[in-house]
Amino acid sequence: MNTCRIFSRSISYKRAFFIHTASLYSYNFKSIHLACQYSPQLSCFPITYSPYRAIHTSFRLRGDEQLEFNESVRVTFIDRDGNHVPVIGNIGENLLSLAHRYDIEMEGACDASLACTTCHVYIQPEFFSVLLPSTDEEEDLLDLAPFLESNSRLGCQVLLTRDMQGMFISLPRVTRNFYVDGHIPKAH
Amino acid sequence: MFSIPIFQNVYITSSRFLVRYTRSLFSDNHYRVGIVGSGPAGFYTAQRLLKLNSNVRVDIIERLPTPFGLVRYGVAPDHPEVKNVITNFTNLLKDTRCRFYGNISVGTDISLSQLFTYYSAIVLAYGADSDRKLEIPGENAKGFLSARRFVGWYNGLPEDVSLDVDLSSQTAVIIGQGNVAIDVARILLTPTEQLEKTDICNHALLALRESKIQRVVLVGRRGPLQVAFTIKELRELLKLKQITTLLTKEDHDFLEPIISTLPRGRKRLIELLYKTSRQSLHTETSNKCLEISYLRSPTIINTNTEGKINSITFEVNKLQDHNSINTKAIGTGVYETIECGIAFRSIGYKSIPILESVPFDNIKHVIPNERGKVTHLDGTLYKGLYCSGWIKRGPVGVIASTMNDAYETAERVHEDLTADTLQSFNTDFKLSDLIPEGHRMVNYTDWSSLDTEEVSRGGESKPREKITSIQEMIRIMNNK
Repeated sequence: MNTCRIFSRSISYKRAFFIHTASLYSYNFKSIHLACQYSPQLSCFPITYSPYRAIHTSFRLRGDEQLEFNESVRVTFIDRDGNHVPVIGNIGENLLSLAHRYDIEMEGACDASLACTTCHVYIQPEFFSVLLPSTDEEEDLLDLAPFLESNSRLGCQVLLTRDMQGMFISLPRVTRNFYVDGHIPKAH
Repeated sequence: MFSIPIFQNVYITSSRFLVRYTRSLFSDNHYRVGIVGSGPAGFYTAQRLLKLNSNVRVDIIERLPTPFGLVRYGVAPDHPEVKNVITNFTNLLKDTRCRFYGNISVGTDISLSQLFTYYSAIVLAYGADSDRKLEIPGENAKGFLSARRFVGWYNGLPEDVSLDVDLSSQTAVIIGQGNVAIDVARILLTPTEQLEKTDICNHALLALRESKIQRVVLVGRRGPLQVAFTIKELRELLKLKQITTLLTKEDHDFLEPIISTLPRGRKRLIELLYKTSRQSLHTETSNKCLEISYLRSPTIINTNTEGKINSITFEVNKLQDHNSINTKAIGTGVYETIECGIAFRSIGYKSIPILESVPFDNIKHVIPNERGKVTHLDGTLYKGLYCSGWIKRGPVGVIASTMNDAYETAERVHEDLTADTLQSFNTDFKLSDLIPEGHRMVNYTDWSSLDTEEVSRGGESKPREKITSIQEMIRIMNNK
């Protein structure tokens, strides 16, 4: 509880930060927060200056979020390049808007109106049953998603709940052999 | 560790960043990528490329004065949610690293070799400009239309708005069972009161109001197991109260035992088809109906004395293997005729070569490529030339397939840029300098003014009224 409070204070900063850290879930937020202020080596680094995905093992915080400590869920995205991006989401928020808030390249072509499959994600199998089951309409679209797996969902239809604490979500990788892997593009 | 301040309290500590950042401070060296075509393939390639490489500037070159390709001219007007992607694409155009050059036809207004002197790489993303033909007698009959052009007609594609669409007969036949066929059928049968609220073009709306069409027949060469439309479109059709979808029970009887053996996507689609065919249909006479008919190959388009279509003769087929998804249809020698006053061929789009110097695979109708990098027909790589979208993998797949495929191309370009195999530039360049005076080039500002005008013409009921003549578009842009 205490940690959470310090945490929400640390993100009330009006600037976005990268905080280098080895582990997301076990560190003391306060020490990181202080370390940022006093040690340039921890590289408080605005996101806009970073065109490279190299430091995405770090924990990114955004200053403009309104987070109530009891209503936030920590999950980790694995982006198209394989980088881990830990984020904090609000309960009830969908994965697509969460990803957009953290500048993760998840496309949402139809703006969450269930008309495309561009926000296709894979849910960590252990958590798949925690999610509300998908509707027929979502399944209809998933049927057309390239690289469909049994743990596939549409990001815009997955709403964060308390039970998703620590869940990993991965985006489909852009494969090197689009045709060789047996994928047959379906009729549009 | 050595670190340098770049901003108040902000330091660079990583040596990799240090090198790149200092390099970018002292030189204006950048790569220029020209993308030919402004549909989803072009935009997604641009988006991924700009994200991957901060040293890249992208120019999107488009033949028409308007951007967004098939999102604007292909997506059905009653599917507005699919067009939401335009918001993302517009944001990209607002990026200072991305410019739009409309009304420029590569090959006519500017040659590929000219482009190569000013660009590090060229990505061809011009899609599929044609469609497959049936190659049967009577195909040029009056009233026998290409579904691709009909889609262009109701969506206001300048070259298709003059299409002669005669809707004065009762029956329309659509040859083909893909999503385009379903789109055409839905537009023909949807009550115009519903279409009035969409961005369908006014000329099409007027023609559809006068339409006498009551019955649309979707004819496929193979059986229900091989249909090409997707479950989303079928479900949408079945939900429409004004349209009754007729499926013959006997056609679907054989499906029951094999449904469980089918792969996931096919299984749910066939299950829905099967279930629907079991329901007893109460066809009210007032309802318009859509019939799905299988195992028929058109052999002759019959015409009246004026050369206008009046019926189509089909040969009844049987399948080599009833229970296989990839099977062939074989003619049985039995023929039957369906009378109709208008018919469409909807058997697939087709890419065509537009640039002579670019290799083209005339069998698969795609540009030969290796993960998006164009190759010569003998397999050797074509330096600096890439392709993306339908021209790369053929005209199939949903927008997500094009997105993945465009990302792959962008990554291939990025790889070559980081390997330093492509030319970089340090002076600014505007494509407009290459265009002869008097030719009206369209930039993003021009497009926004046209966009505003279209939205205002739409009034309160329509999201927009598209302007369908290029001359008028230019006039509006000049007046702003």
